[in-house]
Amino acid sequence: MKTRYSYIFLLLLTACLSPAQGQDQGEMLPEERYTRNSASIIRMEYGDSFDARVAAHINNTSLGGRFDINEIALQALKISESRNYYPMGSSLPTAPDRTELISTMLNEQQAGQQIVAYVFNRQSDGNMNLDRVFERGEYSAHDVDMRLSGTLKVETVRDAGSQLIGRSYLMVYDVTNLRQEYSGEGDSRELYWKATAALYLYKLNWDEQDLDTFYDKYWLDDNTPAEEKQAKKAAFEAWNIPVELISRISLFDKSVSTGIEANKRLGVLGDKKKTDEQRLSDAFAELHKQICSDLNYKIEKQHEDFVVTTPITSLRPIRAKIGTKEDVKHGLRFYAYGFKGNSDGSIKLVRKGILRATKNVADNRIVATGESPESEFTKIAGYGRVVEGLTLVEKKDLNLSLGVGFNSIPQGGPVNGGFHLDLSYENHTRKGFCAYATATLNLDGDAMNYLLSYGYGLRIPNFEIYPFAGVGIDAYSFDGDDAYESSDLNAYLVQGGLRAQLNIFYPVYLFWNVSFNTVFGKGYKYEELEGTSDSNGNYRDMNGTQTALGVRYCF
Amino acid sequence: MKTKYLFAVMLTALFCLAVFRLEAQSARAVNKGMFKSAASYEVQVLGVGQDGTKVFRIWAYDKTVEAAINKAKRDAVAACLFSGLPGSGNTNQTPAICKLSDEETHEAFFQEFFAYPDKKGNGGAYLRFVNRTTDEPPSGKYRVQMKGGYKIAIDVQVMYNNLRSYMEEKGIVKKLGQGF
Repeated sequence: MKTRYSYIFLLLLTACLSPAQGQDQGEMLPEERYTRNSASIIRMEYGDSFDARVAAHINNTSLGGRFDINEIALQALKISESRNYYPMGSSLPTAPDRTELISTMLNEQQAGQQIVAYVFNRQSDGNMNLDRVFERGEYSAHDVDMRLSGTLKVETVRDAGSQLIGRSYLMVYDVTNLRQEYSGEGDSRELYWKATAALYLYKLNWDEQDLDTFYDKYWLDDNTPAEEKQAKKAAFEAWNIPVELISRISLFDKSVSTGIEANKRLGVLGDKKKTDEQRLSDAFAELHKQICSDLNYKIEKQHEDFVVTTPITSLRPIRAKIGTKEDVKHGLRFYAYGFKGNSDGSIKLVRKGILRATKNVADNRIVATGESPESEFTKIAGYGRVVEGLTLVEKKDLNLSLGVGFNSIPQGGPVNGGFHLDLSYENHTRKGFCAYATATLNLDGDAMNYLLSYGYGLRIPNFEIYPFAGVGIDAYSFDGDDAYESSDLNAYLVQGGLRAQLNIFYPVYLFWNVSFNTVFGKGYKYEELEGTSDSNGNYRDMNGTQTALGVRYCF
Repeated sequence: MKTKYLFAVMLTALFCLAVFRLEAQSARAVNKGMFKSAASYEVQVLGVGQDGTKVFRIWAYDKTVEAAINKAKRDAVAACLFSGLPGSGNTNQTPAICKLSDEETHEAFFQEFFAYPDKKGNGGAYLRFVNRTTDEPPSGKYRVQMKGGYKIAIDVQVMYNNLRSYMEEKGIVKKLGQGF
């Protein structure tokens, strides 16, 4: 048994360390500062009864402050296929890959031309102006651009807006296999809203040459000679600017509980204020909220244009000129990188530290003046020196960490060491402090316990120490345990302890738990299995001091 | 005993003299090197500056980022004086204010003109003719750690016309139109 645990532990440790070691190698050099992107939201429509409801939720999707929105006429791609899709030979629904179809439809319906028309504020008579281009150029500019612009004779900041056209995207949301379905049995049976989903990211195929072509052949305003107007208007309307697929991401079957059955089981104690219809409607809304949130999280993490970068401008505390304009939120993770030159003239990235935004996030949703407000960051890990001028690169995470390791039991002989697994959610507080809500599972041969705990304590970069307290259940299992009530096999556990975590190579930590358990409410079978003390140590007692040692991986 | 003591004092004095002399020499060598080697200036013109100014990006290398920034500022002025600025898509080439031989002819003047600022910030007159366009530290690819130091790039604005007038005032270069 012990060998098996050791093997699992070593396997997990290797898996954890492999990506960590690779992080300094071969990463692309990030941009010095975030350049704003713009996006349009499009949905797939199947001509079924869900179209309108899906539309209402997708249209309300917020892409966040880091995007400008291109409000184009094309908002839906109507297709005559079924929303339900099960791959051949599979009983599990999957989001179908509609890349080819969507690409064709977007280009046929001139999505690219619509974006350019929107950016240049094209009116129904074909006249255009640069108001939106200038506005975006100004809003996108950083302090350094503003200051530099002030020293130059020619306007550069507003004109920079035209360079943003090439960063126009289309996000096509495809919600499929949308259905109500019962899951679970007995007391856990519940009605769910379920769906699969995919997001297709397209980019406008546009460069400097296209901009020149646009001004030469298609630009139309009050100064355009009357005899040219009609021809230019028609030429622009016929102009097809292609969009190309950048990425496709999909979600496995997602489900949200309606809570209807659980409420029914409560009987007279159930919530009568909410009707079943309302519960269904709320779950439907929640499902779409989760779908959009998950898809956006994945795409923002995956596509480098969407990753926020910025230099550290000052220290004590660490500050940088980003904020709500770039969707910086309390707890958002950044890696601080330095650029290192090699003898062959190449440049590589060197990670100097891992930081998180503190609650002091600046509201910078204004045109930069040269004195933009700064957000504050705190270093949580990394053995490099964080100094001014290092580049912060956004690395979104779920604030979760998985710990695996060995676990001792307080007293006993049959199994004197077991397997420990925990999943922690970091609830960010402030500089110098850390807080975790943790679910723990300990396996000791035929016995196991699971606990929920909360810890709050101190943090210096690379090291955390915090006391925690929790409650849980200790249980025995064996062949034929179905014959017993679960309460007969269980005992309740109250645990208080101290946990220390040391960064080895972020995101991998070494952790050590020491805790004290008190067991109460033992079932009669539990007591029987627990045994009694004898000279061979043939018993197991969870009362007393327990330790766990292992590695933790943050993600 | 006395002789031994005397010998030790003399040896120490000689050592000190040698060191100070070496330091002074190397400082002078460095100073001269700063503006003598025209080819060493890595410059990128950023656009047409406001009247009488030149705006460009300049690279420099030194042990620390701060030292490299100081060096870059000094190099920016030296580039305007001795090597001129290259043209770009929107700007014409800018000729050097001085002849290379002026550096030898007026060596003492340039030693003083290009003196690095001391701890109180008092430095050579060159500081009056150069400004950084931002107070933010160099970052990203403009702050590269190299073996033994940092290679940085900063954006600067050089008061080109004022610099030229100053050189004329000091008799380093002839006034424009003089001699016709």
